[in-house]
Amino acid sequence: MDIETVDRFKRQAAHRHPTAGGISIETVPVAPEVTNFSVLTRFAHDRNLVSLPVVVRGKPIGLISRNLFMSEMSTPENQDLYGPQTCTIFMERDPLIVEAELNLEALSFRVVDHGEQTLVSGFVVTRDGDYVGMGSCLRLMRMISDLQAQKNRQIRHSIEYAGVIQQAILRAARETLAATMRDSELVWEPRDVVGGDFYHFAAYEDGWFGAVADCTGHGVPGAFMTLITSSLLVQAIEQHGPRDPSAVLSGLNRAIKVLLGQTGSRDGFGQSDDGLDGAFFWFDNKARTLTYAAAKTPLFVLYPDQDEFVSLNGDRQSLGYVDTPLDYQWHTQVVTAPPGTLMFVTTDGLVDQIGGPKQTAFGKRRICEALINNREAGADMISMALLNAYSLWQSDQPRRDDLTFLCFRP
Amino acid sequence: MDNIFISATQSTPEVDFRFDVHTLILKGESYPENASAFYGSILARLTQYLAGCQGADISLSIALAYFNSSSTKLLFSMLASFSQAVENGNRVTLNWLHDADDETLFDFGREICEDYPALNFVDIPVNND
Repeated sequence: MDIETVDRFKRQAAHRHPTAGGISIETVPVAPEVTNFSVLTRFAHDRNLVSLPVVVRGKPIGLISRNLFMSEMSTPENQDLYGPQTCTIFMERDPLIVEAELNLEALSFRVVDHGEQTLVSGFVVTRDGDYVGMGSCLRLMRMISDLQAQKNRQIRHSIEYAGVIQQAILRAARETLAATMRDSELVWEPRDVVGGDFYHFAAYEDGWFGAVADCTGHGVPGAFMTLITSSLLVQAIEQHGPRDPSAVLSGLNRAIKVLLGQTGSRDGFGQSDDGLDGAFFWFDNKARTLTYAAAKTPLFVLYPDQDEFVSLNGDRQSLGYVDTPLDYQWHTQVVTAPPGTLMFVTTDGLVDQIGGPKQTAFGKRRICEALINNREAGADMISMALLNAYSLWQSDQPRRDDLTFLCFRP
Repeated sequence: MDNIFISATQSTPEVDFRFDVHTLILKGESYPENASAFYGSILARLTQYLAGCQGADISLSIALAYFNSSSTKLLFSMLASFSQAVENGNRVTLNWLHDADDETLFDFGREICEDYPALNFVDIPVNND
């Protein structure tokens, strides 16, 4: 086998057993009695030899580094002077010596702690104190970055697949919305691949139920919360019916608190203090009324004959969380919606996004401006205009949170 | 009681709690992946400090441009501890610093002012032009 094949084989083996032994290379050591002339010959014959271990009765006692050695032996005078002497005069007496089973992560810390010279000359690998081979730091770095890339890939694939599951759960609601309300647009953009925002829709003969919610956190923990919450929400709707959003909210609050064990006193470790904010609706087709109950999520209403949005504020009490009472009752508000009334609800990801000339929040005022400026258009075009305004505001700032909003004319 | 100083990162604020001079500052943005992990020990030290305060004039300055909902929760429990300290005979001034044009932060400050009446709330709009 040529060196490259051996190298590839070793790297593959090292992936399975990422230890110091896995990346060491057998290097024939020298004895301390050996002369500098002999060492010079070894270095001259093997251009890849970076450093030469000195071993006595199987135990490593030092390391001769090519760079240091060659610079000492560079002149003919020095060669004449030092050549016949034993090689220990140019030997590092305190090289990094590690046991073969040391894992690569621990090894990389040892290398860094041991100082700059180790990065150049490498480390000696032993098994039960006996010399096994030499390790190169370049090879170590390559292995560490391979392992890192492999871990990142695993995590990314795992999250991407979690995203498929999360979107499957949301798809049914999105299809119901599209079939129920033709002039509506829902934007759901998790900051990462999965997120803590979710929505729910269900159509009935006499109306529809809708919810837009923002669970604690984003990313994977946020997505966990949305899965728990959306299944508890379906149960709460079955139990309380869709026509009283406040009762659904209270039922959902109780169910979350019980499931996450938030009903007792604060007990520190492993205690969940998670929950959600959101707006919950029931729209009555015949009466054209929207019944609204919400936790920290306002509803913006633009009547066809008015120039400004009316803002309905939900209660300032979140669902779940240790501090929210088990029997809290959210307030209900009823809005009549003449044909053409534009309604808008969003999670805080849109409102609080930092951007603009002074890195400040996007804010409700700019949202309402974007909506009013495009009020003649359909909900889809209005939403696109809002997203454009939002992107302009965000500019090169990173996304801070998940973003979900719903724009509709019931 | 040792002071706390933690440098800001992209997602966690600078924490500059000088307990010896009763001057506490939170500055930056707060959206850590695990808010309890970041704030847990800070809150524990703060509670310990407040328990030892008697008739103190405490100045708390908050200049957070962005905070996520978990950070908000922890901010509230921090403010509850300060309110308790007022009941125990201390005076607490809360300086709420925000960009003069940032209505979202101004509104949030007003809510804090209503929810924690024991604190001497001072709204400080800053012109960052």
